[in-house]
Amino acid sequence: MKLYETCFIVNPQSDDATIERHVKSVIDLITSRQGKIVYEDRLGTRRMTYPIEGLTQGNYTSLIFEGPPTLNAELDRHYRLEDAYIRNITILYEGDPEQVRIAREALQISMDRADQAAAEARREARESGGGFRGGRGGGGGRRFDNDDDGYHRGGGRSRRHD
Amino acid sequence: MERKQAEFQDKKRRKLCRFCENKIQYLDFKDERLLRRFMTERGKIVPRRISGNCATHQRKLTAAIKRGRHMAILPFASESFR
Ligand SMILES: [Zn+2]
Repeated sequence: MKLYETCFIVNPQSDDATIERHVKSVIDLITSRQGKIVYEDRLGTRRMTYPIEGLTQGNYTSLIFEGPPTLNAELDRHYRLEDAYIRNITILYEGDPEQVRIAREALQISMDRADQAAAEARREARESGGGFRGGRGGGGGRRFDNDDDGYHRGGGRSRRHD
Repeated sequence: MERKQAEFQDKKRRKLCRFCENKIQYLDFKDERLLRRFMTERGKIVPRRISGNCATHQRKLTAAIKRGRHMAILPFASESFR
């Protein structure tokens, strides 16, 4: 059987028990059709980048499961029958969950390092440069081009870590 | 002066695909932090001539970004400011 990932957003404007019930019903549907949940990821309530059905936040859940291909259509129907699911997606999961995690951590670390280096360079430039260079935050980061190699395309902006 | 410019261009050209470098085969559409690095501030996907990605990974990247947009994890283009 193949690996699939289904991710859905539940309307967060209801009590935790109701949200839990909606999440549970998806899990139950999968397991009742000989599916097996491999990885369950409760991302929780987070801001959406654009409003959906007038909502600005959504409660995200992602499930990686093994199951028959017919389950896809059943999931689709399940999501459609209940208004609480405001968005969903079911895709073929082509990664090895374990390997992906390790490789991604490695990339994350190298990118974090690049971010850190850029931030440090900026701070250094600010401290040593004195008043006349104060405004040019980006200038200092240049020096680190060798090791971060372009990562700071929008990289200095790491404030979104939620 | 001329020489320096040539060196600079040469350095730019030998950029390697970062996903190949890190042996990443699968891109998760939920990985907002990673995917945003390959988007402009306005939410457009950075072309691979700039990011240095290989064709295979750029294809996987755009697919992941589009899924992320569908799930409101990533913005659609034309977001004027954040
Ligand atoms: Zn590549």
